[in-house]
Amino acid sequence: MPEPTGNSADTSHGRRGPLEGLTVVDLTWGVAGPVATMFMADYGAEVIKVEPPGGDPFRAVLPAYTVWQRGKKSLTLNLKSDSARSVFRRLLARADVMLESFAPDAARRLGIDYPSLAADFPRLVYCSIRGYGDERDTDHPGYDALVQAGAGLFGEQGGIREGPVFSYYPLASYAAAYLSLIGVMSALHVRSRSGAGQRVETSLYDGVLAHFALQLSQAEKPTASFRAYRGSKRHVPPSVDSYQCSDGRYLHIHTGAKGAFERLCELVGLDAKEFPGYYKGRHFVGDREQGERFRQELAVRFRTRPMMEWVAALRESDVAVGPCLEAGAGFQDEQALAMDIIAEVADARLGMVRESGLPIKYGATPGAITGSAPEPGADSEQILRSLGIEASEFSSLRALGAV
Amino acid sequence: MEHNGDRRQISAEPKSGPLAGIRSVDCGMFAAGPYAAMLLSDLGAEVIKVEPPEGDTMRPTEKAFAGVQRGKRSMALDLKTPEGLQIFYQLAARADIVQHNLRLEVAERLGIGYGRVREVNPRIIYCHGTGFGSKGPLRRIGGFEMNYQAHGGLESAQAGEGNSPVLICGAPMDLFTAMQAASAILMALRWRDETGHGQYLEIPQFATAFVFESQQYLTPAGPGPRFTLDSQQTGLGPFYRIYETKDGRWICVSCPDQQSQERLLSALEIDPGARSRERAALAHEMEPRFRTRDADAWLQLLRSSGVPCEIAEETGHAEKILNDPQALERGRVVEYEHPVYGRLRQTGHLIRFSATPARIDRPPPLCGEHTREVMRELGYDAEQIAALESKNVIRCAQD
Repeated sequence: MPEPTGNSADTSHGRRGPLEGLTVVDLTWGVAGPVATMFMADYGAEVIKVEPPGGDPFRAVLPAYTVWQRGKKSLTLNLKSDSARSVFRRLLARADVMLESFAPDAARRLGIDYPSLAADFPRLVYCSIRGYGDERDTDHPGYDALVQAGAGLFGEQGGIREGPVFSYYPLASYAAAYLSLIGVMSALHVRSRSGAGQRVETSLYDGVLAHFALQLSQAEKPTASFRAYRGSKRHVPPSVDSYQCSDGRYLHIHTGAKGAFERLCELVGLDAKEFPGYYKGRHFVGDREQGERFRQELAVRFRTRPMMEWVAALRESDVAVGPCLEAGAGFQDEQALAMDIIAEVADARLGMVRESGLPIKYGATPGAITGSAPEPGADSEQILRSLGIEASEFSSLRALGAV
Repeated sequence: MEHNGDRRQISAEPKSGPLAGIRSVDCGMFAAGPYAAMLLSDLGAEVIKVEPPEGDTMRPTEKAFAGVQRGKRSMALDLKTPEGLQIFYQLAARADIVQHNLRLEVAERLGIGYGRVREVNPRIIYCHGTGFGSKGPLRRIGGFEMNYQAHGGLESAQAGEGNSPVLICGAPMDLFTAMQAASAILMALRWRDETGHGQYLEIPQFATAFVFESQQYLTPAGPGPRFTLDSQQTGLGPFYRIYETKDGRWICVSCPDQQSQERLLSALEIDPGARSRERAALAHEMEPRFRTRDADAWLQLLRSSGVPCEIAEETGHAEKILNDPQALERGRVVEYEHPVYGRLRQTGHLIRFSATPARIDRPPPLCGEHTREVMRELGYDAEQIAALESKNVIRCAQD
């Protein structure tokens, strides 16, 4: 079995990232915030996860925290207590970025909404990740599945039956993770010039809109081609569909590249010229019936050999293809390992964990996974000490239930 | 002509937004590269789309093209000619970012590889979008959305138990790779703001599939806990799924904790103690209950019981967001004039900034629409521009 080579857990600081020197205070939970700050930690930021004394409640619900909380420090603070809030403010004084995903009034009640902090921390970039980013946040829980359902993403998901289909992945949250990362980095750029921080806000709902970028355009005078495009539940043309092979496994082809359709036909023993209603002069044209005939001819041929044999042959012929691998098979994938997009991270409880690695490959500042996910409060003492809080004060804070 | 006059007036205004003053040269084609550049443009960066005289290969797919190209100026330039390459270097010399998703050997052959670009601009942030990546057995293999979804195991995960692979809608490998690239560029910009150094960065599209799979991991004792989608593709278990109701509409529930799960069961008149029963059996009991009322009635009842829920809207609903007056007012939906399509409405600002709000100030460009304008900015006069146009080095859109 191939082994990962590079970006495995590395505490030597030999691989600094582009965010080195940046301090991030992370008050988020769920998916979007933790994924955004995972990227920040992977690429060099010091991320301090501030969680309530019992730990972030999502620790119990999301096994993925093993991955998403890696490389962060944990400080437990009971923000409902005044003394903890004063510790929190001392922490913010040395922070560049704060992220939160509270309901709008919860941050206000704790006195850590942006208006309560802006005057004292003028350089702070304050990022809010909401469910909706509008008044719905006050009475609609902003959970990923609910946001996708309400915004119509389940409705567009294809499947084996009519009606909406549940998205396996938390798509709205993943997109919101990126949007918040983009927002924070943009605000840091502004700060590098003006010295001033600001508030950045995005939401899972905005994440759904990002997911729809290719299909949500409406024109007053659309051309036929403009009108025809749908990025969702639709007839999948045979030239970009998946097919079953002799061993029961599937592959997924794409013949959009120049000449790929001809190369596919030649490989499987079909004549590209026999389907002029479907493909003519390098273009796919509309004849459904001929397209379906092509699909059937192709399906019969793919069923003659095992999947990996076809994949090798298609690649040899320069036809884009993906083997439809089982979910989870990627952790053994030779290409993923060669590209270092799989990492190994030593986890105190689980042993050596193989997980998604660093997706961005920087020439000068590669970044590194600096450790596994912390236990709640694992770094409280060290962080408080770095804020100049002595051991005696730490004990009294603990006695008060503040940390 | 009147129309062109209008648009020149718009483009003469300085760009606003957090990235105002940042310039990118975008040689990307299809969706992943261009959407990354559009995200930067939405934030105020000045983006010049460099495309071959015959246009971006994606142009015939008009709606999808329009969705990832607004805010840019188009410069149609043949990089295979020595003069075209010189013009590209001039653009790169005054840029902060160069981004493309050409194959590595094609970029090198053309002379726009990182080494050459760095010579003309040592501070450049050079973002290269690759397919499976620049190393490994598949480094020379190209790919598309579905190839990555298949290979990464995403189609199997979305299929539901026992079903044949299902493609996730909306081209997430393209769009999320673009968001990855925009994030990566901005992190590199942060490094440059701190140190003055630009750098090369690679965004393998294949890696995006692994970001999706970041919720999984493998331990020495075997795979970590994995949620699976059921065979009817309704969800990940009785408390985290969609249910069909009496009127054929579907309702989604999402109950992460004991309290909300018990509330849901109570609302369905099932003993809350059934919470820990075997998943399939419990779902089997819950399903017929949902068929006793219409979706709206369930929504009202469940909300008043404190159960997190939402109607799972049908296909076509998302399109309605474009007609939501509030979304328009907040700038999440934008509308502007396009020379061919008339009024064009799209999703707009997805990130809000308190101090540096951005403005979307330009529709997706026609091929070569701004060639002349950009050439003039580079110092070429009308005669030189005409000469280069007649040699097919550049193409200028018809006025």
